[in-house]
Amino acid sequence: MHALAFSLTALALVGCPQSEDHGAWRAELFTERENEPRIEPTFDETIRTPDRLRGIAAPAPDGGVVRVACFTCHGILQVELSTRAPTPLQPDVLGPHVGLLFDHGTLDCAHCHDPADPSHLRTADARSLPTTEALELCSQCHGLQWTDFQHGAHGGMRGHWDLNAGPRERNHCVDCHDPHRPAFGQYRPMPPPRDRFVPTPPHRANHGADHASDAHGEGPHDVQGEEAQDDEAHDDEAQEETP
Amino acid sequence: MSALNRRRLLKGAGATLGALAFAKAIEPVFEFTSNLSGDEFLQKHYRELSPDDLRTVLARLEAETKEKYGADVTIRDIRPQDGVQFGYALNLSTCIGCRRCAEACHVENNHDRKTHQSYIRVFEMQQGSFDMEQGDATYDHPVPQPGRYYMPVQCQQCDNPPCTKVCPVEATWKEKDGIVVVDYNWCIGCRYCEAACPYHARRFNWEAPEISAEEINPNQSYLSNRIRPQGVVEKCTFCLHRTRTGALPACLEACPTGARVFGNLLDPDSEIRWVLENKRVFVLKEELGARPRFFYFFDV
Repeated sequence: MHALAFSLTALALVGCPQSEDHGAWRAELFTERENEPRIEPTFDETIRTPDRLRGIAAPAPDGGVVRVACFTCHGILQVELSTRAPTPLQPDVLGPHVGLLFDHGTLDCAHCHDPADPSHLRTADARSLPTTEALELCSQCHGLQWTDFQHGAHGGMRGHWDLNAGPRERNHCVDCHDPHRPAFGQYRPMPPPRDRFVPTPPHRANHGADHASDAHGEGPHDVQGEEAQDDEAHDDEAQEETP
Repeated sequence: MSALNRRRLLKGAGATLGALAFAKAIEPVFEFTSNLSGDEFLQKHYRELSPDDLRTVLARLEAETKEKYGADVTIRDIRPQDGVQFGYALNLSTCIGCRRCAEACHVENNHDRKTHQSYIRVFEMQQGSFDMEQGDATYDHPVPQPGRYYMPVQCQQCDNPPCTKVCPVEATWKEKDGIVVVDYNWCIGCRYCEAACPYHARRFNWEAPEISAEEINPNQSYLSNRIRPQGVVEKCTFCLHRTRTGALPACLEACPTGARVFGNLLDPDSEIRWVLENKRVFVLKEELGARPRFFYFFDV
């Protein structure tokens, strides 16, 4: 490897004497760090656990929204998940699940939910998983996305690229994809730049600080599915309730 | 006698007009120098500043920001790390064109609020086409639209940067971690670099940026996001005030789909290296030979 790098460098020096050190770093790619011992990073990479995995946002008696753990209802109510065929709307599903939009391939409830224990998920090899470990469940089918995710090439993140300098937080699948309707919807984009050559549309003339403070928020605003996703849409305001 | 008077009169009128025209022509010079402190005028090039000089310059710039914008800011000089070469990759399959990256850049880098400037321009492109001339950077409708894809373009931090070569005063150069920077106090505003950049990545400050004190990001550095003076060129610096301290750039953190991948090209375990080795990456306008460090890829 060193000999190769040396001959490449020699070639570069002889072949193009004016090229200075442009691209010299590329030669370093395979020599400098390859034989160094791998040092365990000082800080951790953590994956968020969205509230959505810990229960359902249900209407509270006072008109607000409350987060209800699955066991709160399903400890008493027995449901036969496997009999339900997937439909876009499920009017036969009672309580807080009413209006749940379901559009996830050809799956039905029991493909992911454990019929024996509704507060758990069930993998393809019939293991029961707590809902908070949904990542493992999703990755059974979405292998390409899982591979990308493991290498930091899928899903948003915040923090440090250098884990020796600080920690990093990764989004969970469910942060961005509603497991019942995983496709990304349409969003209203942030306002465009106002070039000297582009006239300012009147409705945007007063734009400014309102968007600035919003830039590190949760995510773009869904313009299509705001009403459709009613049981999940209030996740931020929902309070935790322990069974 | 009368002929002589006429000649004198014409001479006098001509001379007066000439003097007035000259005074008008050089007026901007006086306007310019009245805004320029003696220290600023005598300041050396960034790379020739001694540590003591630099401390003085940073303190002066902080004081000027306080005076002009009313904000308490910290302007640091953050040097490249050894063994770090930055690279960036962007997944065009997952980008939805929401412009959150451009907005985050706008806020992070203290851009002019009036023009809503940003170092990132997101093109709405026709699927099946790479003609950026046909790309629309000012769309304002729900995204993504069917039949379109979205391509954010910012400084590509080229390894063979055309922009630095044309600078007549060496006010812009490539740092050893790969980031192309501008010394805003050395730039003369000729805009040659803006014309030389094949990616339209540089911006010119036609006016001094307008930004209220509470909106100013106080975490600033000399070579990146400090508020630029009027009449100089600015550009994306991969948020070097963040990335040189190990943090992710603001545009990546803002991306809701995770289309952006950033890291150290020299680290074989880094995310960017995995993408370069496992995805079919390409660069924009490769035929120009600028050797960008900003890579694009599609998932399929």
